[in-house]
Amino acid sequence: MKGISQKQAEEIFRDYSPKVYQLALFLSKSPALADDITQDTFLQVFKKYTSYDPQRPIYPWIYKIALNITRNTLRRQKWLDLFGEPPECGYLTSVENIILRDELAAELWQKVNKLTLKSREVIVLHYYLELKLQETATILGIPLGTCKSRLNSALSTLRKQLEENSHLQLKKGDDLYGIV
Amino acid sequence: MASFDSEIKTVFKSNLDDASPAIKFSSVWEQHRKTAGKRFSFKKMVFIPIGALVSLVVLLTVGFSFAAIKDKTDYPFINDPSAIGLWESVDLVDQPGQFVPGKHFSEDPLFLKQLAFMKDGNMLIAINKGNGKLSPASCTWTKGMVLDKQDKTNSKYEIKEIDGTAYMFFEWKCGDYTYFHMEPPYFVLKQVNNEDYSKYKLEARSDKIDYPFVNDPQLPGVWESVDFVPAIDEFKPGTRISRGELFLTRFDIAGNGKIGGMTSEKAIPNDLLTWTKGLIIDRKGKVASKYEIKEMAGDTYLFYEWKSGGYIYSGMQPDYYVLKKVK
Repeated sequence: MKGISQKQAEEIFRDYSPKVYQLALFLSKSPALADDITQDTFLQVFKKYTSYDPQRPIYPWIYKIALNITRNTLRRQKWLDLFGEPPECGYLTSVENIILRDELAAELWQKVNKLTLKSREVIVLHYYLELKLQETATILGIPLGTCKSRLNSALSTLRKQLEENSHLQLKKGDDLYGIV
Repeated sequence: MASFDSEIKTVFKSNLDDASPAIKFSSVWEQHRKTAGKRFSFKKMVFIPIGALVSLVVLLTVGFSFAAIKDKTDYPFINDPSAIGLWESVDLVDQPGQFVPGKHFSEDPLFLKQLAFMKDGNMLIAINKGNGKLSPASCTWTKGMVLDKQDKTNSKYEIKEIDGTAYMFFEWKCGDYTYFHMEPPYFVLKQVNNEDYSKYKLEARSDKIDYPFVNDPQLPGVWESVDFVPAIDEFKPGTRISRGELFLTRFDIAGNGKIGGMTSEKAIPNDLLTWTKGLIIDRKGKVASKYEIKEMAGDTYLFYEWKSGGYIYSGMQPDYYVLKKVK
């Protein structure tokens, strides 16, 4: 089967590289790693383009590749950390500088960043990349019920932490379970 | 005040929207071109055959481990007086030994809220969703086990007394166990009382069901279930969201307002369901379920609100059966 043309590749890269980079940046917390992940993602996308089913939307396929590469990269990074390479923290520092202008948002963003990787994955896919729960579940490779429960758990953790710190007055009676 | 959801979306947008990769398309494309031509790389010639061999050995060792697990569920009822009563979740642990009374191993909110074991082997369940009230459970129990014939799971329970309080350690066999073969965690439930809930008065919700018959020429026919989805727009023809066996398998809808059909267990009695334009009415359960018919990818689909015990007793939103017109 014929591979991807340069024109097709350029269009896909133009349309999806920002979101792939932002996904990787949020999960890896490192601009350098996010660049590597973005590059590896599109190398995979171009290489495996013939296996993509054009009847389906392309974005879940691309995000799934990006997520897998991010996970592998982070796994590798853990091994490097064991051998003493200091983790990069430029992303958080720069973000903290930016968001100090909005204390309430800063508090929420800080809490979102402190969630576990699994929680951050489900939150970024559903809320930032605006994927449906079923698409999110498929990309994460988990059943829909687990996905819903993981999202609820992440939201509950966030809300609990925010309430404890009293930095955000969330609307009372918000039904976090309303999403399921 | 904006909702929590929109606050999260906004904070993501304000912190990530401006971030863009430093890498350029030209460099990625150049690298792709260089690697695309390497058909016989060392990696492919050595590691891929070794990987394939290892995979084959693993596959032969574990067998077809990716098939859904089906536990034996046809056990006779054996009474266990120590189990009877109401139990309330206090923790979720990976292993029973991790539980410490008064402390929480699980940081997540507990999905399971309460279980009531009744004298006849039936059960009531309350989950932290909807109104959180007790509703009839689809599972039954016998000494040492909770049996779910629909999901084909057999979950062990064990009762232990710790510091003078009875705790139940209940295996939680959800989809992660059935489809992904993961070790089930354990809900730890504390005994609230030892009363028999056989006569417990459930708070049931009912719909208006006295509608006159209005014809809908699109509805009569034979419809076969193809999926079960949380919302109509989650369904995509040719793909399936739900896992496992569908409970409702077929509807035979007649032009006179009658509905027959099949579930995975038995035929639907002819006098149970009726229809009028836009609604399928269950007179026994006193619920009126909306339906929608849509043409998708050349086929006709019926989306049928599934108002089960979760809707009737627990105030939850109904999911949808998706049925395809076959005749």
